[in-house]
Amino acid sequence: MTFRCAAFGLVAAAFVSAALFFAGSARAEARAEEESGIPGGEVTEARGELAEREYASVNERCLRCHGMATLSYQDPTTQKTVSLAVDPEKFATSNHARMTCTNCHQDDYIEYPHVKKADRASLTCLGCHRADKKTSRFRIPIFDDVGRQFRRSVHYKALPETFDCFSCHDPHVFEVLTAEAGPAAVVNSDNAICLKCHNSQPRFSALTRHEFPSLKQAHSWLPSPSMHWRSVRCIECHTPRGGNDINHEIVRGEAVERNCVACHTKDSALLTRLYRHRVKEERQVSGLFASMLNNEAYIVGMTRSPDVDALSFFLIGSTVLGLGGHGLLRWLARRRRRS
Amino acid sequence: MTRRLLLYPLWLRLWHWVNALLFLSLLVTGVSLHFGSQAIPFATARQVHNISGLMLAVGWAFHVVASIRSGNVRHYIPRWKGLAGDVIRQARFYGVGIFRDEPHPFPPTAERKFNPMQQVTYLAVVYVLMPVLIVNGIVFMVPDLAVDVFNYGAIWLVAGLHYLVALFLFLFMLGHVYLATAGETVTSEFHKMTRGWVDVEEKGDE
Amino acid sequence: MSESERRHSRRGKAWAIVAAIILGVAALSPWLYPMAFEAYTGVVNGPLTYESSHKVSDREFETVAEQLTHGARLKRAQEVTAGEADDFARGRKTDMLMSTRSFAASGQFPHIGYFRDAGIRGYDGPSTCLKCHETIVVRDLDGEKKIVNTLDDVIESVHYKFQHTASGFTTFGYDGREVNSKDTRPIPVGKIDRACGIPGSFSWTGWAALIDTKPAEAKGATVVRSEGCGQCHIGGGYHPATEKMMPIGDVPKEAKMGVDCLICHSQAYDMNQRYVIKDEAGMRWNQDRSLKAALAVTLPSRDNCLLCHQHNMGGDAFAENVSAKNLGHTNQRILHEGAKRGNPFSASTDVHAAAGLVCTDCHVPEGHKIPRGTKGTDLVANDLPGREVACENCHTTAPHSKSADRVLLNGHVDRIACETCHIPHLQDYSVVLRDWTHPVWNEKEGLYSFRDVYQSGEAGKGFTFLWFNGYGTFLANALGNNPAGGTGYNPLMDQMVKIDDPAAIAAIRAQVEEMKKQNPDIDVDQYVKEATNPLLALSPEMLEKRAKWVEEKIRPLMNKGKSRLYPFKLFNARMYEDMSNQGPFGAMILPFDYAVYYETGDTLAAMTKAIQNPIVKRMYELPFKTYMMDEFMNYFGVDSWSNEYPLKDGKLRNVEAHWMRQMGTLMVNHGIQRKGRTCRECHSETGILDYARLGYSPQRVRELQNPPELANRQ
Repeated sequence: MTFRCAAFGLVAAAFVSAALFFAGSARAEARAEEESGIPGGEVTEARGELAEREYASVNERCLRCHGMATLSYQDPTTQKTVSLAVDPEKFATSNHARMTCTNCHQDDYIEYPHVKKADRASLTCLGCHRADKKTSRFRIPIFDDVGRQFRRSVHYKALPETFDCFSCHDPHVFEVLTAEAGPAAVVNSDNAICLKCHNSQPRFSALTRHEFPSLKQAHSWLPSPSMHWRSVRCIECHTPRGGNDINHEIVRGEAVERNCVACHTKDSALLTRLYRHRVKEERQVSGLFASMLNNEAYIVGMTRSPDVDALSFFLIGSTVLGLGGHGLLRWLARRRRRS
Repeated sequence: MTRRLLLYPLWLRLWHWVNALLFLSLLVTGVSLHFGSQAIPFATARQVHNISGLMLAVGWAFHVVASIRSGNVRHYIPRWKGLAGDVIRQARFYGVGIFRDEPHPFPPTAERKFNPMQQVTYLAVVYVLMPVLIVNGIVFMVPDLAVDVFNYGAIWLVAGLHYLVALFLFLFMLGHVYLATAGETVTSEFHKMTRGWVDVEEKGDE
Repeated sequence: MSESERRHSRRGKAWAIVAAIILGVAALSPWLYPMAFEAYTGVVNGPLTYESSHKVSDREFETVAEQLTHGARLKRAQEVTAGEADDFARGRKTDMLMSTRSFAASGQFPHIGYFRDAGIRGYDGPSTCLKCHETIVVRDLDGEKKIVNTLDDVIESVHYKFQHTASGFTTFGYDGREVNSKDTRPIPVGKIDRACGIPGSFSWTGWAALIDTKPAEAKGATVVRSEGCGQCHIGGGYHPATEKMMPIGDVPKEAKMGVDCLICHSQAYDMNQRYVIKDEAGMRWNQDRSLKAALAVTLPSRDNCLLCHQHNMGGDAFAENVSAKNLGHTNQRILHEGAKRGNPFSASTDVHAAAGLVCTDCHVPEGHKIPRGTKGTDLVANDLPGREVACENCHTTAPHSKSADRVLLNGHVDRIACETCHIPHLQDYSVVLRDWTHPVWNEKEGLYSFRDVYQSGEAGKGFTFLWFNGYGTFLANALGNNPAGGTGYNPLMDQMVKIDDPAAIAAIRAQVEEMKKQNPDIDVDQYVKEATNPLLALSPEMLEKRAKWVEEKIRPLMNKGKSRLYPFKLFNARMYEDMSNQGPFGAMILPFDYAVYYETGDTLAAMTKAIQNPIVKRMYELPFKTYMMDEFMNYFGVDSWSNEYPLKDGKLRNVEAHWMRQMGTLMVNHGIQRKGRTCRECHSETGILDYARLGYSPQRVRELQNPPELANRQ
């Protein structure tokens, strides 16, 4: 008998999952058509100034050599292999794909052999992405605070000389993932930036003499740490709350607030940061299971459907009312019988 | 003549009341977690919910084993033949008869302590909903493993089912508590579940 | 006794007899199986004795030891006495030092001491070695140690059995299946069962032969010479390790005792001991089992490997080939003209050899298993598949550090293998086209020899550049494709089946006209056409099938992994083929009997003799067909093996002479030069890389032929 019941349970579960699946794929298709909402519209516009041909010819010319995956040399002093390669495929999908190489790298590089040495100091992200409207070439409002935030970060404080934007971000590859990618991909891609050093002793030690901290030990207080790493970006916790969704003020682990409810709540911090790409109406979209279907990540306390909640309240309420009514009737009947 | 039958042995009563307490604990902490409420701190709620859940699972397993070994399990198995009619009869009693002070259509016997409606409901609750809830809960407890076995998206299915089953169990609990007042007297059913025995009318047709 | 009792007892007796027979056969099988095997395959085994192996007195022992260490002791003593101004005094002091006990004991050969202490006064092959080295400690790549039986380790190595039934080949059949992979029925493959156009035979039919030659110098007298595959292979028996190919059974103990440990381990091995000897059982190769050689045992040095391997790299014609200078005290080995690869490994021709590297520095062994590397075009078994032997292991992917263009040069590493630039040419006598079917009389050696129709070590002629992803076809064609993809690069219909360099064609024509003098039946025009376009041997249907299979079955293999441009030595041979077993990519090659070939020049008679070898006959019978030949032919791109034996009632049938349907492409990785090619050697319209045929788009071809970066240079 229990077997029969179990079988019924399985069948029911299969129906539910099938329903979830179909609803989910339909939703994904709809989403694919939406505009991504990445900050960066200005870059695309700036592109328009360039003649298509010029763009193509400059970049092709550079990438003919710099597209070679092994374009590199061994630095005689550090003994390290320094790569000068740009992966053309990754560049093509990067946020800077529509720029010419010479937008950043000056024209001295056009001839081979290149006359001048690369002047890395002149190349900073904020050189273009400046807050000042007048001097900024490609102002992106969300970048306005980045410089200030960065200078308050643990990285800058510990390594003011050697740590810069490029320590984390490769502008030839950097790509803000779009909504289609989904939170799991966003988490993965953003965390990869941190893990490049924080999961590799050699890279970490190349930058600093600090003891290489064990990620596992440092996060031992956290329930299901690896689950969290797969679903949450490092910076959700390791930046002060309240900053914008690309807060660059990375704080050390000791300073991090261990507050579960910061994320595990309807007003989750993740909503304004990790899920920033999710357009609002999508988050609040009505319909049974809707929000379940739209997120690959399930977060206790955050990703719940208001409709399911409402339905629950309705069911509970009607049950209570029904039972109460029944009790009242019983009481009335009894009184009548007595009288 | 009436005979006093011990239909609810001590182990069963103990399980029942412990289970009831765990239900309450899970309900309160579960609601708190679900809404990310600060009323109970998240970490505390999580801890209590996890421990209560595990205890519920252990208790459930104990109940199933003990039921089978003691033969108590027979009370959960409806007589499939004519079941629909029996259930309707019982429903009619709750809908009409109870107001006219009619006798209970299926008074408890040594062979059948539950009425057909109880049988169907308890069967569903104890042998379908609770196992689903427990399995879901365990998957939740080891999400890393669950992600490997199922996949990332499957956690959604698990979460959804956990929630829905919990909701149904809560609805059941409401009904259950209310119907406990609908015995011979308002408190007779509570007596059954505290003292364990039932007075049974025996028809003298031997 | 009743009738039924009697019946019962009779039945009982019958069972007892059957059981006794089964038990008896089982008990005798260690003796019966080898007898059955020898009867079936025609191979023979026998006790192996060698003249050079004999016991010496203690006094002779010391004399040999002293000879061996003389050089080292002298050098060391001279270093000490160098300060002595007086010649006579210096000489006396040197002599005294050299003969002191500590000097004598500190020679470079520790086995002198071991043998002296253990009372070993003669060398008797493996049994002597195994007295102390019954097991050895082997360390795998992860540094994990294990203890293995030394003899088993050698017997299971490719050096001994030259085939594998296991997977681990980088070779794919023309049917698209990886040799001995999951979707195949594994068969023993390797050099043991592959007839080849370079030696003109294979190991079963060409293991050991004595040839009566009539050299001009001898003025009519007969001079006996040795020939055969066994001159290099370490198995010292009457045949290769044929037993190892069978699903059951093992090489007999007596054959295992023929393993030549010293050719790899002795620093005093005398190649003059390598010649064919004939005894009651048959013909086999002699070896150096002298005490002197045994005392000079060390880990293998470069010289050990090169005793055999210089043959396929530098060739016999290479001036520094030690073996070619020590042909035998008697029955001297026949020298071979032409070189298989033409890239000698020696201090004068290779930068690594000049730097003092030994072979095992790159080919890091695991016990007696030696890796070939993870790339390979040919069907040669590999002891350690998966173990990398690559330039990058030491040189990284940024190897250039001195040139002003170092960054750009390093950039090339992604597309161009190191060898492409750093092997600028091969030896001039590298053989490209070898014709076994039109022998010529060699006045000097007094024998009939094959004819190398074309030899060249020049880029674009003797070797070419092809995309290579590390895999090869069943007949040694490099697989790979232009990383941009597409079907523009199609070497199996282009580079590997066409010789179109005018200078090469002219050289071939000149050679063919020379051959015509001894072979009047040759039609020069037709011959040149066939030699430079082997696809002419295919019928239109076959040709169509070939083109189809290339796209359907081989193109996916070409697109596997990552391709880079590698240099490949080209090779083709004209041999007799069994046309009953022909497919779009070739037919079964038939071997020659060396004695008949060299002595009479009668190619058909030599081939007829060779295919009458029992084991070749067995190949044309059902058990062998089922066991391996069908699968073998599937790899060839033929549905099944035809058992039509090419010889019926003394007449040949379905036998034709052809060039293989495409040139083989042999990897060349030695003969590395420090200085690589210059930019313009490739980046010009007349460069060595034919970009269009390598699958580049016309625009890219123009760009590669004249990159703007080179505009400012001469």
